[in-house]
Amino acid sequence: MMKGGRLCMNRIIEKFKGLTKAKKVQLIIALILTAVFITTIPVLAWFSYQRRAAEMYKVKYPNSLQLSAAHREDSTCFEINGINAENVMVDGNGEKILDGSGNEQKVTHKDYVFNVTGEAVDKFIIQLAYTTNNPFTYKVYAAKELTTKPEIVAGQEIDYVEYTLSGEGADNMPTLSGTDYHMDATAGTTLYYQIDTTVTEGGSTHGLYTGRYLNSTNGTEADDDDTDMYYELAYDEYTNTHHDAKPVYWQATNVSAFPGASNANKEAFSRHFILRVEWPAGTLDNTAKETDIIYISVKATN
Amino acid sequence: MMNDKNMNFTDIPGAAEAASLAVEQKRREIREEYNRRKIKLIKFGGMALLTSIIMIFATRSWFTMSREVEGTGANMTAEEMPFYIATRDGTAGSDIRYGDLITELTDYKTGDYISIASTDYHKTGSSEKLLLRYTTGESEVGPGGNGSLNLYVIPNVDRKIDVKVTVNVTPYAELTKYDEVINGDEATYVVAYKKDEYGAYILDDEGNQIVDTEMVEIKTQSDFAAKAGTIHNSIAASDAANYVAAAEYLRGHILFFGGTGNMSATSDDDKYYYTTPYTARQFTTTIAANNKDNAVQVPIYWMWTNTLGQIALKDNSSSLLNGISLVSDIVPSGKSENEEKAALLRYLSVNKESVFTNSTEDGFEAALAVPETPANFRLLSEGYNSADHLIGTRIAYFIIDITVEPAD
Repeated sequence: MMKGGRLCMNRIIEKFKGLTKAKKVQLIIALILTAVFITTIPVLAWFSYQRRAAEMYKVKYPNSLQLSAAHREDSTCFEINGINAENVMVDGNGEKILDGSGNEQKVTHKDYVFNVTGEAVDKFIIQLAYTTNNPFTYKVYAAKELTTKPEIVAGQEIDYVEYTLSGEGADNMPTLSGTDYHMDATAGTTLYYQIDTTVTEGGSTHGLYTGRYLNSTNGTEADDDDTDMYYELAYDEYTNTHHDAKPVYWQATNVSAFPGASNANKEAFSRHFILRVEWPAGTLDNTAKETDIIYISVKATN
Repeated sequence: MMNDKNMNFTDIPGAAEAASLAVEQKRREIREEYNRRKIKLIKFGGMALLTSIIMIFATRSWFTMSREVEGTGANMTAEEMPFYIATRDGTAGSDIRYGDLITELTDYKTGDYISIASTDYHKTGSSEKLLLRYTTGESEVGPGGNGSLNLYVIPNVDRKIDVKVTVNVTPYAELTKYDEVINGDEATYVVAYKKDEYGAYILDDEGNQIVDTEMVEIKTQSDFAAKAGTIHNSIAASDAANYVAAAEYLRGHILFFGGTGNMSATSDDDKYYYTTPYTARQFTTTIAANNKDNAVQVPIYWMWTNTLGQIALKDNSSSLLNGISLVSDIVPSGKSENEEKAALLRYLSVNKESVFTNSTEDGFEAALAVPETPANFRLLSEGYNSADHLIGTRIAYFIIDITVEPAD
């Protein structure tokens, strides 16, 4: 058997050697093409040997953070109306607070409450951008919500902000659960907001967020045009901006959804903040009315 | 002379002639033998060639499964695909969503209507690609979104069939188109609004113009940047890395399963969504015999898990779990761990670049090994959640496509 095989092989080799060069080349090409043919057919055929099905889905855009009035009410309920320079300091009972010499004192600050609600956010930035026509400085404090009126201390200004619920909730709020959020409060109820001095996060001490000014040294006016790094962003080539119209930017970073804890479980949260508008005593004059604009923004950073 | 037994060797010329004759004869015989062998070889070669040609054709036709080929004269028959795939109709009638939004889906058809056991289906017929119908569920999904893929197999043979199923997720971004406006030698870009074929603006129900957008399949950074460039969307083009990362995270966050779990237990800790995770995105299943012309469901469930704890925590002893576990965390007697949980944890470990944004940070591997520790859990969750945020802000649509083929 083997001999026959070997004989056959030898015959074939002899035959091959006996061919002319042209014939050799043709034979080799034919053999290669056959081999290629045999291997490509199964590969191509595999493609048509399946059935396919598909379904399409739309991805929801994350609505992570919302800014609203106190108690998650619609932002139209957040009002900073006129500040009356003639207002006199009174304590919680309505009695005037006199200074050391027995004179009346004019009020030097006013507080407003706003709310940041979100979901799946751990840390965020609060930014204020405001014009500087009035000699105001702004401070942001962490606040807590109370359903009962805090105690009044005679001879001291009240340290809470009252807010009466209008019943107009803001849209698209995530579902909140927990007694802290007082979800059962109804329209007409008055809620009280006090500075939460226990909060020490996000660069805050006793609830006050120090933050930093991005383009100002003292917060009462923006830097000069050439040193203000945000001037060109806002005004491009224009050079004739009124000094007090240029916005001052202030930011508090690393403000937590849950102070002292992380939000690993993407839970919904709701936090209140007090915006305090302050001015040095005696610097406001009702006859020299000025208007300022302030923008409050929040941005998630995690 | 030859016959003379007493040949005389002194007769040399005669002997020589006899010898040469003998040689001639021998030569003739050899030549004849040679010719005979040559003819044999040619016959053999011809038969071998003919046989191999026939074998090639026979096996080729088996591979392509073409139904049209049926040669009676040449004695070749083609074997058909042993099943159709089908999707079951929902109660609302025409239940295909978004199918017209993406050109890649135009090959997929609604299929041929068929009624089996008084239930309506649509099956592959003239087209090999089928659009699945949705039965229930939201049309917009976010983290926590899940569903069942409405897929059935209709065998057309009586024997049992083994099928191999492969699932795949393809994400798309919806990018705003910009028009180029040339002012002298400056070019500015303005948002483009949809126009009809006459050049008039198309308005929505409230009379506003509609922003013109383009669906872009997210493949590689350079491909995405180029596609964003052609619609002059420089913001998206410069953000190509994030789009590609978001696409990868979507593929990593969507998991597939073969069966439903227990969602009716009294305590949340005992509930679980699914069983049989298909972490390799491919599985083989058997369609039982004697099911010819019946619609046999191939159960495939998908889930975009909301929180990491649902996947990574072995149980809720750490109280870190928010939500319901994906698979059961009960350890069967005689085993050291729940195998399905272990498979999910292996999946996280092997695919960490597709699941977490912070997988390259120091200490990540160590944290992934022990996720129950609060500090580790926080690190892993941060990576998981920011991947979800990236998906939500970049990906607009995604397609789940399924390939079904006979397993051999």
